[in-house]
Amino acid sequence: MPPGFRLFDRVIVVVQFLLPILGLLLFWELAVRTGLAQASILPAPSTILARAVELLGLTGERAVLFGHIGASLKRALLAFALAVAVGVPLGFLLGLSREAQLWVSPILSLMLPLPAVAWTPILLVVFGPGDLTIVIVCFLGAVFPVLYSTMQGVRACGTQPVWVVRSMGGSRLDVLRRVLIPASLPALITGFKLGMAHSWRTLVAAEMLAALSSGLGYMIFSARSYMDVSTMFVGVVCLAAIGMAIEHLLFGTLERATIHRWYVRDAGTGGRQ
Amino acid sequence: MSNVENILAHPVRETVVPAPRPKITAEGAGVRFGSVTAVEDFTTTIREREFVSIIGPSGCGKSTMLYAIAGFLKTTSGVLKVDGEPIVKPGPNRGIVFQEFVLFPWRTVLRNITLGPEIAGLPRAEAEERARKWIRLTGLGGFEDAYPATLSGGMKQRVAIARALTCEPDILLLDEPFGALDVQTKNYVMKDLQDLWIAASKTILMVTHSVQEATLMADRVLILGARPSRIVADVKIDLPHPRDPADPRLGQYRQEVTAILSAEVDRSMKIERSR
Amino acid sequence: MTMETAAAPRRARPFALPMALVRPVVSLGLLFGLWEIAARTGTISAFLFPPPTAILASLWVSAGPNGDPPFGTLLDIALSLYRLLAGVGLALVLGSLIGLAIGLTRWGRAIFKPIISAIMPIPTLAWTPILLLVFGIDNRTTITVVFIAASFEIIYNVVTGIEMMTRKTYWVAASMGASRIQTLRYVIVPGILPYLITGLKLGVGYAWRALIAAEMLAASSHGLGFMIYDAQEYMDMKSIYGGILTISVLGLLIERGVVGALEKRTIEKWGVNVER
Repeated sequence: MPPGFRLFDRVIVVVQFLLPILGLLLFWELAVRTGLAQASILPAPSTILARAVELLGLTGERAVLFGHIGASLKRALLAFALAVAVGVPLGFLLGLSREAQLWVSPILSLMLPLPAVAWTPILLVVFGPGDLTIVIVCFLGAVFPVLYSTMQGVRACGTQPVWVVRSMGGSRLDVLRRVLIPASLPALITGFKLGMAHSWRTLVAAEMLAALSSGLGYMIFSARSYMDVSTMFVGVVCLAAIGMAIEHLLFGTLERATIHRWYVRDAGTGGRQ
Repeated sequence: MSNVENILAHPVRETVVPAPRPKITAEGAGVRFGSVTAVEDFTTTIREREFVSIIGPSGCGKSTMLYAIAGFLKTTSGVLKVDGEPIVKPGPNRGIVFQEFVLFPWRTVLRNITLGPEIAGLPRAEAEERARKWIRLTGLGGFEDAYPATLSGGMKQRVAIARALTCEPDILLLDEPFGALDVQTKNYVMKDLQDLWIAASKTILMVTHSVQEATLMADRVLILGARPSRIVADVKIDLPHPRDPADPRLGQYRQEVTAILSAEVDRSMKIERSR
Repeated sequence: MTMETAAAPRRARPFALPMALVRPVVSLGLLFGLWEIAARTGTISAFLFPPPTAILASLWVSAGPNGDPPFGTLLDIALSLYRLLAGVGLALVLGSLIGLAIGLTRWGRAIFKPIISAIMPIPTLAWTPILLLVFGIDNRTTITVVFIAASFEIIYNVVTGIEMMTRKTYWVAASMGASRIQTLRYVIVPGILPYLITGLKLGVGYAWRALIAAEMLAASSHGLGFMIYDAQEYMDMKSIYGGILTISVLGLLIERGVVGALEKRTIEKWGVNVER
């Protein structure tokens, strides 16, 4: 097929994808304009867009939105980094030692059904509202996916690859460096992706409960007290867009550089089965 | 090295006379897992440059013995020696090839094969130099930069064999190396392995459940019985290499091994039923 | 000639069952025991980390007739469970229908897939303030959050279940002369059931966590999440810890006990392997 047509096909796919979304937005707009929906509760998409332009500082006002986004990103990334620093080593330990995992898992399974946000009241009493409380809550949200993915990745490696390196006279360090770390890398990346997503998703709630003056969650929650619904929607859209950007741009690139190159077109073990 | 190529180009039609020096010796070796005995009283001597095959009903512990010789598992009784030294851990003098290939998907073909020299601390250039030789001999030329996921089963097994040989082991341990290959691929890889063995003068110990594979390739076939697993027969295949699968004498050997093996399977089924 | 005769070795593990019970008792006992001692001896602040026995005692009181309000904890539990059940029930019905529409029809796929992928990246809890405006402080707010949290997993798994069914499955039904309705009833619905249960299991897990957080945000409406947030205003640490413990134990019971039992009676019995 000539490249021109292929481009045409891709455009069609994008249009087909966007059409229902645009249709929904149009319906929403019309519903508000005709008075079917109450504009004070559900502002029209055009109103929200206008508000976003204002918040971005394009109309000459102060660009408050960037400040909130920056504060939120800083907190979520810090919490994610902490989660990786704690979750990966612990995951390796529990993945390598079945015995350690069996002893620790009762404590983990007691922690798992808890939303990270549930710890906020305690942290509010101990540290008060502010960045520290928010970062700890997000850390608690991010650390378990990182921990579990690492553990599964290490365990899924199996004994035979380890044997191969051992039979070449490889040391324990060789096994770790040449087998366990690369073998668990796909699971690690999955864990990072999940961990960052959880950190970001927990952030909103944590900021609503504990932020003093900045962050998207704070922006949404404080706009609620002024009944500034458009700002709330701008905040929600920002949260979704940034979350998607992190997932696709950051981790998508990482995956393409590693997992996709190693595992594409694998015919399985091939042959007889 | 040029000598190796020479031999490969013109296969020698003569019996490889086993050197008298024993390579692997087992005296009453056994492996137990908890209360289950996998193998017991395994006694045999495998000499230098000998090709020995272990065959037996599934679940008889033939792979267990191979893993013990590789040093992955510890024997719980008896003595197991390589070059007169008791086996305590895995080492580069014993290369292993698994049925499932066990390639590293994050390394290209070349880098899978250079892994052994890399671990031994050789510089990259030297490691690649060594690997190139085996890449050529296993027919992997042109696939150096491919990732394992893009290869067929037969190619994957060639990589696994080349990877084991690049460590320059004295002994090659093969754990059902053709088990995951289809029949056509299997015949090719089998033939290549025979040529390699003749050229490289290695001691090979191969575990298999196929009488055809065992008799075609091995100098000796050790038949393991069903539990309690021990050697029930040691059949010498007295034919020159490389062998022709259609050779009628080979057919006789096949029948002989099959007869012993089916008697063993019958016995194990009787034990199973009477339980 | 087959040689698949020798049985796999049966392993005798006489300590298997007791150890499975011993480990949690010892590891949790050690954790709470050390905590108790440290709090009692003053190694850690008994205000910030009240000893576990004191937490349990306070939980016992607040769940009893002398609580403030009487039977307060039980009321919170009942309200939280009601919201969970209502939201998950709604998600189960609507989620399955949307999943079927996406999996079986072209128009369903064309309409719902883009809309769902546009909504999914929004953090579930970000809906709470908007829902608060729409519904006010009302059960509908938290129930809707639960619904949103649970439905994506259910939709995703139903669609996966349909995609996993091969064309030959339909051919078998067609060759028996099955109508479209019969195919749906005898082939598709039973076929996606294991996936639906998997989706339910994951969905309930997310929903429980979202519910607690939503109850904290949509304050003054009872429920376990509200309870721990409210206790924070009075710095009542024992109630906060008691609430967290209740949330965790209830979450475990729902996921392992209720949904786990459902899974055992269906997926595991049929030996279906749900890839996830």
